Amino acid sequence: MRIILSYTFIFSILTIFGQYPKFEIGGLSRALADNSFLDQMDTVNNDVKQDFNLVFDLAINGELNEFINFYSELRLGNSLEVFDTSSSYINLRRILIYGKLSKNTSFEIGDIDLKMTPFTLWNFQEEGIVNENRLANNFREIQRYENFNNGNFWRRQGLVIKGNKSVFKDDTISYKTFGTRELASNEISTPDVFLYGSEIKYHSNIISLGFNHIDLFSNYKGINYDTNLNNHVFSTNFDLNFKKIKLQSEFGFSSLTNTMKNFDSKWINGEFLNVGFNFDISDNFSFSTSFRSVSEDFSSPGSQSKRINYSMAPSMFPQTNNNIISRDISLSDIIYGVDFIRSNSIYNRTIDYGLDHFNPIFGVIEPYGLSTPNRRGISSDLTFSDSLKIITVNANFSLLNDLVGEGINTKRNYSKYSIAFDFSLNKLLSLENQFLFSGGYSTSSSKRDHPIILNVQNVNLKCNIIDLGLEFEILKNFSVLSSYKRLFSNGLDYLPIRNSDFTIESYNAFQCDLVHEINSFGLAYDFNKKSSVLINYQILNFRDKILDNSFSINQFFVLVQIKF
Amino acid sequence: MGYNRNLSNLFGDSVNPIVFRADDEFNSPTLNLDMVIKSKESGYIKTQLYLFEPISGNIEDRNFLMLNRKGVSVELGKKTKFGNLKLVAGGINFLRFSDFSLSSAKQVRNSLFDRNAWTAVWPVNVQFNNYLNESNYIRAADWGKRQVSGFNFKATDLPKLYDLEIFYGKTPFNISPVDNIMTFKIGKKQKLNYYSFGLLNSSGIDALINGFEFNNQVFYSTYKGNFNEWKINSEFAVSNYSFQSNGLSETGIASEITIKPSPRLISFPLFFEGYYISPNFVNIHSSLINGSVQSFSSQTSSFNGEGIPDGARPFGGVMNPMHIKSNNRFGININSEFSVGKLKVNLGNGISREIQNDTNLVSFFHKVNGLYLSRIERFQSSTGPQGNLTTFFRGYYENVLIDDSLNNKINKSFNVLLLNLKYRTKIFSKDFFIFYLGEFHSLQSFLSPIPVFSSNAILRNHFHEFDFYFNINKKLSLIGYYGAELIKGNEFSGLGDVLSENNEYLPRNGIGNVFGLGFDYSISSKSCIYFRFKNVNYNEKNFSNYYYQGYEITAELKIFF
Repeated sequence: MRIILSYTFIFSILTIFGQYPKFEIGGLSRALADNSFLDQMDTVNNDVKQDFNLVFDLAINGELNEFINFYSELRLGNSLEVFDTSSSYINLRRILIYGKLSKNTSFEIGDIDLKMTPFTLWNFQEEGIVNENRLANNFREIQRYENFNNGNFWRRQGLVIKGNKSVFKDDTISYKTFGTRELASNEISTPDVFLYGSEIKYHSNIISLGFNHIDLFSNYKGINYDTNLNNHVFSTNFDLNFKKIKLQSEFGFSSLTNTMKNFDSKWINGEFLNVGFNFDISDNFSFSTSFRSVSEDFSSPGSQSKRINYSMAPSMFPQTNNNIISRDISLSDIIYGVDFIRSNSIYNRTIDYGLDHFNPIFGVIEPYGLSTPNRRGISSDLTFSDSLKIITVNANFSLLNDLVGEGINTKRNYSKYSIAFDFSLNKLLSLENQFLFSGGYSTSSSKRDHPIILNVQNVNLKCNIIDLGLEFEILKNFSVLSSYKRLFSNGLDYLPIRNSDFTIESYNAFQCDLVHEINSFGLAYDFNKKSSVLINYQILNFRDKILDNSFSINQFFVLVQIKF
Repeated sequence: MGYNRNLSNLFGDSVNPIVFRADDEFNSPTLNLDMVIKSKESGYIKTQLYLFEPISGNIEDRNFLMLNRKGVSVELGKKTKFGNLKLVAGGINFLRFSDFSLSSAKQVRNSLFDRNAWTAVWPVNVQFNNYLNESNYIRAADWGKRQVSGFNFKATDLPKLYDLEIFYGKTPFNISPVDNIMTFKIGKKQKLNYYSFGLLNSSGIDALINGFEFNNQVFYSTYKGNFNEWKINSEFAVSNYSFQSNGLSETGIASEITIKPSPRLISFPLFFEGYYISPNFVNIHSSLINGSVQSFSSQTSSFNGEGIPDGARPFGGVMNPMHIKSNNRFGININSEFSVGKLKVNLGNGISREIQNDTNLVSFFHKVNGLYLSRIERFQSSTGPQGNLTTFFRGYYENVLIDDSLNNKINKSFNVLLLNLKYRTKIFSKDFFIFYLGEFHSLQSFLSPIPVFSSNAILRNHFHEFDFYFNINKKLSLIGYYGAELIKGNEFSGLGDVLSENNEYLPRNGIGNVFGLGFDYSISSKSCIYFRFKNVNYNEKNFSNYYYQGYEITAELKIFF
């Protein structure tokens, strides 16, 4: 039906304006064969999995007239498992009408990409990344594409109007306002949920000042409930730019309320502050540091919603070792659990009230990104490369603590250290073909000592991730790839459980002592810059001492990609 | 397309005799859009959109737009200093490696009267002239090729005239939850000769939980070339299959050679083909019929309940046409094409014998009546009044159990004689074509140089098809068709259940008659209207209710653009 409406709209526009449109087409196609084998330990659950899919996204960009453009992505897909037409489908992946309302004002309607600031509307990247090489990056890219994770943008459905105008010379006032529908009412029990936001920013060469507001609100009155939920976030950002040094700041507050007909219930307010600077010491050396404080009641669904829906079961071997309870989503599921059926994906596309589930094995320092509630402390980042870019290093650390104690007055201390490097051996050895060694290590912890009288174990949770990768182009465009990824976490923490008004009502003890590993080997051939084939074999090892659960998975992939 | 069928009697039943449809009961689209999107930088993507409008009233919305049989494929190519590389991913595509590895049978001789969805559109007369001049012209993209989905890599013009081809994926016969084919072939040209060697591995696991492994490997080598002006085409293969579930493991061999003697020795065009395919040689992805390995038959239990789609490939002793071979068989085919004045003659004679007698089940195809019944009883097995008919796409075959009292003592011998006569003349200065296609099969306990035409044969099947084409003008041709099939068995092929006038039960004696009329009307060189009327009946008088009668009409407007 959407396809028909879209094309009806196009032809209506054409009729009105009587001009021939200009169309451009582009596309992307991927064929992915995935064979996975669980080791022999399990006798009651599935121990093999095979998927064989090809998708082709045909992008059509049409300049319908001087003011209005049209963009759509049609997905043609089929499962190569089945030899008839029943396995094939045609979907509308994206539709967008965009254009200009005036010289300085533009609009977009349909599937729009939105972001504001890291505390208002921001799509933080998924966990577990330090410095992955091409083997994992290929699949990360597929996952992000499939799940509309374009940078830090959220893909929403609605309308955005934006524009900019100069006030004086070399300055700009820009503004943006949008409204999206997050959930459609069933007119019985589920209310409509909308997201509204607006920002206005003054920007010059030296100074930048902006005001942001976003509100996630529901219309329960549409289903005859005397209540409406609102989650506002207001923020101001103020930046100063002194050539090599840039000062940045953002502060604001959130208000979560339940509005009834005759009175407003108590507003739950949270606030945050983030100040810092970037210092570009040279072209190859930069340093940044920031201080932030986010209160325990700061609620910002647009920036706290997670990319991964950890309440879902993994698509690949959810039960292992004769267990009937699903295992938690882990590294390999996030990277390699590609599912072309949108509703089956573990990736989250919903912005909703409350804090999403997360898996603490990745660390608890900032599960909701910069806007994780109840955190205060500093973060720093350093990037260096030599002039020939033989070696590139990125290091960062964060030292945070609770703003208020959770459960007791004592606050947790959090730390995170991470280093990543790329070592281009081909440049060092003057080889023509690429020879890249990459690696990274990240460690994070949360600690809190308890008085002996409490008779409660201390908080001490450590999470470590190692990435190692090798890419060697043995023949022109033909590369041998290898990577090793290891996640090892152990310790104990008490995770807060929040109720519907965002207040903590209890705690869950979380304890782990586990290792997850991915040993991967692959061959890649680039037909050209836009087309490649990858053959990938890997062994996934899972060991959990607490649950006494160990298993391995062998995976074999063939991936063909073509873009144009 | 419009389709109307009247079935006044189906096995004694006259329920739902009249059918109107906007397809031919099979996969005939209203619109079939082949799209190729090419990019100089990237490669190209092929897809096939399918739109079917059943013309069943405009009361509600229906989504009949989908991807057609060919689905989506991407193709990448590159010329390098080592050779030309090409990668095709997706499906459904069509591939042929060799007769014993990845292939399907090349059906070369059939009537042109019946229409199908994938035949191209030519101006009237062109197809008849093609058929007159050449029997082996390629009718469709899948001619002799196997349907596949997966990844096909091809490297040609490699150093020292080598080439390499690899396929990883599936055919419709990979039926288990995890079940794939991986095959490769290395070839080398040397002057006028071409050698190749390859391996096909079809393996998988028969269940998602605690499944057992199974494996079918085929090592094969081919040779094609000239040897002192003798043209030789040959293949030798060794297969092995194994099932972890029951510990079964067997090995078999297959070999074939086709020789066209040097014209200096025999001036007459003769092709000799000899073959030997052992009972345990099996590869369901090849063009061979598997008649002897129970584990790969449609009734197998080796795949944990999954059934291999038998399609047009029955199990047991099959009275196969000359272009299809079966395992557990050795034989000789002799073919020749020559002209006698304006008459073109295509003559073939095939003799084959089973190597070991391990079943009394034999089967034969109903070549003339098959299409009509397959549209009524679609994709059924054990159907018909005696439960011995299996229908497949555009055909059906019949199973017969030979009396054990004879079967236990014999090795079955099979004969097929094929006679194709083609004649073109002028009537009122217009082209008039007459094609005759006759196939004579027999199955008996002894070797015979030609089919046995007496009741010494356990089973005899004779098929006669006449096509008449009268080209009235550049746009219009009238088409006529007459087909008959005669099925006869002796007392060892099983007795019927209808008492004869002599108060005895007699063996099978079936007669089918098909009479057809139609016309082709060209609107342009690539658009044509085809009208066909076909009256069909089949009567097996010695078996109760084995009778059907009716007609079908198709009107088709076909446009290629």
